[in-house]
Amino acid sequence: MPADNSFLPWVIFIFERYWPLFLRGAVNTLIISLTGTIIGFFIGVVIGVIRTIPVEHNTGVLTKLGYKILNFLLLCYIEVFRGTPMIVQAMVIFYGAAMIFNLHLSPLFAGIFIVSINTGAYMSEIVRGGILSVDKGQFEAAHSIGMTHSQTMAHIVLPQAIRNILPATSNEFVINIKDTSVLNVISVTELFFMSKSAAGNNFRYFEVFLITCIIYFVMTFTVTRILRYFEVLLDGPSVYTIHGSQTVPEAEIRIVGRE
Amino acid sequence: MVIFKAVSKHYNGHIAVKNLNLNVKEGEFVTLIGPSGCGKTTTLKMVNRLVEPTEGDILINGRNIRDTDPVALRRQIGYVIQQIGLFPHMTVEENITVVPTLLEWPATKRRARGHELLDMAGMDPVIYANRYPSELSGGQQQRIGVLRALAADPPLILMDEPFGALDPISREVLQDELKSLQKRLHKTIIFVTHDMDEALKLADRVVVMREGEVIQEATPEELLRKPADDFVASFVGKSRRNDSKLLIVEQVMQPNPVTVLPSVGLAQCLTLMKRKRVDTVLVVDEEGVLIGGVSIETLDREHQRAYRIGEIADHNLVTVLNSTPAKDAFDLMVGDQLKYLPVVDEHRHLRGLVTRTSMVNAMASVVWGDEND
Ligand SMILES: Nc1ncnc2c1ncn2[C@@H]1O[C@H](COP(=O)(O)OP(=O)(O)OP(=O)(O)O)[C@@H](O)[C@H]1O
Ligand SMILES: [Mg+2]
Repeated sequence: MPADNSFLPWVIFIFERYWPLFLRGAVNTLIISLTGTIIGFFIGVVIGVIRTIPVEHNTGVLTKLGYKILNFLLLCYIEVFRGTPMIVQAMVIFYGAAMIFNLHLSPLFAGIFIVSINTGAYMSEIVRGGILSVDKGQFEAAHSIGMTHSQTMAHIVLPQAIRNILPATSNEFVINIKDTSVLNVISVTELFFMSKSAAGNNFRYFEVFLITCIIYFVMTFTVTRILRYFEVLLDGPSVYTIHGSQTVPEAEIRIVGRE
Repeated sequence: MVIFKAVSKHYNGHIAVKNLNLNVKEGEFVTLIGPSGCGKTTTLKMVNRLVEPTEGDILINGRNIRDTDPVALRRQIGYVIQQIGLFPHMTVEENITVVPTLLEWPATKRRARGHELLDMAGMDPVIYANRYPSELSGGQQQRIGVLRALAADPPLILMDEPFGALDPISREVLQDELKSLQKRLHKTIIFVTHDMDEALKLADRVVVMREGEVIQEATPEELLRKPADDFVASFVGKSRRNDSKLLIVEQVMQPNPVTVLPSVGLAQCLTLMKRKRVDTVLVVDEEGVLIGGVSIETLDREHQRAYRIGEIADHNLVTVLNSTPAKDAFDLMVGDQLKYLPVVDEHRHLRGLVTRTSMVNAMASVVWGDEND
């Protein structure tokens, strides 16, 4: 208990007393959301690629049917996980696994699992959009020089698609940092859960959650900035010279600076 | 090298290519030309199996391409697509060496090839190898597109309006480069365009298409001289009017100039000139080989000294070959202030004469169209 029973001393007191708790919560939040985003990203890439396989006229009937069924199942997964709240998914999976499969997942593992497949559902559609947004001429150019469909995907289309969906992926990461807070319902010791227990010990909800709020904001803000920096880096140099024409090589255009 | 045998392509009932028969010889430069939607791209894509024919067969070096794996087939055929299609996330060098990479060439060999090709296109590898396509001008990008098609040294190259999007100057430069490249490397090229100037300039043989059918296949000269029908004529005509450069001397010269043998006497020559109302005659031998020329002034000056035309003929006439572009001949006349310009073939046989009048007529036909040709 702080000597002075007013607002600021309480905030300072709680911070000094519970900072290891906040820190552990924040670290767990970051671990879950980062791992979940990365795994979700790969799920998204795999599903996005599968869902954009072209069905040729000359593919066999059986292959076509198999592909149709697979596509339908994937669509079910995407729609279900995008159409229900993550908090409910967490309850269903965590308690469902325990009841039906007699599987007692550790909360941290369960948390990563849930965030991953939830993110995967969103990323699938994002990746699919990214693939479809790559210029059709690129497919044609790749095929015409003798690339198979998988080589075209791996070397030509995905690198461009992924570059295009990077902002959407960072966005998913930031959303995940915030949304992992719902995992407190299955007792994952992330930031919100930790805050709740700190607050419960003192009945000081406002002071505690103000600190929590600031921590969340610092995390999302920093992450956004860092990712933005990488995006710019990937875009290549912001100052370069374009030679206007080969016939008049001195006609140079200098393009300076994207912000 | 490439043989189309009764090839047709239907797209759900719509006929894109109809009963195409064509034989492209090794080392030949063939251009396909025709209005938009006439099936040029479709024809080209059937060669590397990006599109499968509905009917008919295509043979490459005697082998039916149906029996070749499409991916393997495409690696042996260079292809420059309609919209450049460079890969924006790869450097210039990576773009050029995509096919060698697929063919798993060792890195050093790939690199050497990339630099060799850049050098060939007059682009310094030190400057350009590590740039990205977005850092190149349109003409440079198009060069890289062509280099990419050349990288694995395929004997056959397909090009689909590769210079379509370029400004006229870069376009000409690239056309010249391509033509000299083809001569040097002896590639077989099938080149699609809808620009008649380009077709005439580049091709050994021009194939004119309309609505999926071949209307005429001919050398550029034949096409200019004997268009198969009004459609071809208007197609060719449009280009001739647009560009007098494409006219060759043979088409604008006066075919039957007044000539005399060297043994003819001066008085006889003077009578001839009076009768024909000319101030100059050309002197040719019995074989028709040009020896020189005599003007009325020379005749007047020398008539007391000489007896035979051969003695006073000017042997240092400026002449042009019959295949010279008309524009060059005109430039020469204007530049050197010549009154006339005899036209000869490779063996110096006299073919005709270009005068200031023929120049004016040719200009007129360019400006107002060719009503009486
Ligand atoms: N995949 C396709 N499905 C249906 N119709 C097609 C397809 N590809 C081409 N066509 C049709 O076939 C015809 C020939 O097309 P093609 O692309 O060969 O024309 P083109 O001569 O290359 O024209 P352009 O000069 O405009 O490139 C057109 O009428 C076109 O609409
Ligand atoms: Mg086309």
